Amino acid sequence: MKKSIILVAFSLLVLLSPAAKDVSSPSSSNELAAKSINYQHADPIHPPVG
Amino acid sequence: MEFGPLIKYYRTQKGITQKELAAGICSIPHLSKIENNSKDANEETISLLLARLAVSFEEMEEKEELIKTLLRDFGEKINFYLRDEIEEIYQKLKQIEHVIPFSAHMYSYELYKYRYLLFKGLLSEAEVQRDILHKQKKNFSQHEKYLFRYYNAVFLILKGQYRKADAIFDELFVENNHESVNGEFLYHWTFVKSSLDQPGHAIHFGKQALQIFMNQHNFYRILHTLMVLGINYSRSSIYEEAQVCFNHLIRNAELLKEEKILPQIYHNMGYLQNRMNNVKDALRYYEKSLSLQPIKNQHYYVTLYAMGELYYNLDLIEKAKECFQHVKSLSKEIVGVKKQSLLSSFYLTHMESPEKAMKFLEAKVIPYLESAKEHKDDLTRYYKLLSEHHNQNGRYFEAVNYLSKIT
Repeated sequence: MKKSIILVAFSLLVLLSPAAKDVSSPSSSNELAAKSINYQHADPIHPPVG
Repeated sequence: MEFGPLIKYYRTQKGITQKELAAGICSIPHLSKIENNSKDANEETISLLLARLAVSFEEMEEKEELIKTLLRDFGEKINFYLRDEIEEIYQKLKQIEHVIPFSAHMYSYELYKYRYLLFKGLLSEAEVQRDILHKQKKNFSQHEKYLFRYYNAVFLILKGQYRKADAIFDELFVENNHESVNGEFLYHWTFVKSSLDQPGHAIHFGKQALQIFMNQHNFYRILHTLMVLGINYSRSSIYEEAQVCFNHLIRNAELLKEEKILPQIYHNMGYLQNRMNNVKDALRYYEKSLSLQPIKNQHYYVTLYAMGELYYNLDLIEKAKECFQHVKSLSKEIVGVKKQSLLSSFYLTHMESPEKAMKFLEAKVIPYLESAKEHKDDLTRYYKLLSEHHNQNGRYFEAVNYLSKIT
């Protein structure tokens, strides 16, 4: 019972994941890369250690 | 005070033989035993020997007391982050450095000297001092052993080795039964947790440190702790608290005339606004921060990079390009901005060719982040990005490889 619930949940996860959507969409890898780098990498500045 | 070795030190320095010094006071073998600490001499003999060397017994006793007082004050001034006073006491200690090895405070002095070098950020000198102390650690008292390990953790923070520092703090905390830790210890541990991107822990220890510093009216450390707390409230999306911290900081830094810290506060205010998606305010704070910083300063490039990223996300590509090019062109001369420099190159390449940018990511950015071992979150994002990129191009083996690195 538990195994089947996990399997269904996993299948749903795969189906709903952005990668799964992209397979059926016509977007190119470049578009994906362009979208995906919009992360925030900027760091805060820490005070002195002293 | 260890008078035997002290007598030997002054006798040798003045070029007097044992025969000349002992004449009429004691026998030569007796003097020899005194000098080698193998025999306790009476106060009168010591006084006579010192008098012949033109050194006052009372003065030496006073010096012992002076060393003790200076070292106690030195530790206190470091805890209160009072830069000018620290320098003043250090110079006073340097003046009597030649007698310190004959006092009971020899190891304490060497430990505080290590702490002083760390305080000043003189890492290579601190490393030499650490090695000297390491050879002597068997002779340390329990408290001196504790100080040595604690200072080693501070050394690791300054070297950017936060995980190792964290392990030491954890051990010391457990060994002390979670008690008797002071504000300084908690502040440094907060710093480590924040650098390891563990905001929950950073807030936990930061609040305890803040309480202690507030009770002590330790104003500079209050500012520093508020800053780390503000950063970690921002990361935890507790925005109101973060804003309270930064507003306090701006007010108090101006009051205390701590102009050096102001650009850092404005940068972090920009960081907070960015996380809150208040892009215009974020840019305004970053600009304010930049205007207060000298060029060729590490923080200047951290701020400039942050602005470049913001412009990029706003699709203001030309402005972003300008920031990234500036960071890339000058960052080679500045220590501590390698990450910003590499990421600027990554963005600039990405503007020309996303495919080339992915190759750059694999060839340059990932190896750097992996070698630094302290950028786990950044690495996870890039592994994900590369995995998606390879997956889209049908390179499933590479895609799975990056996915497995995440787990």
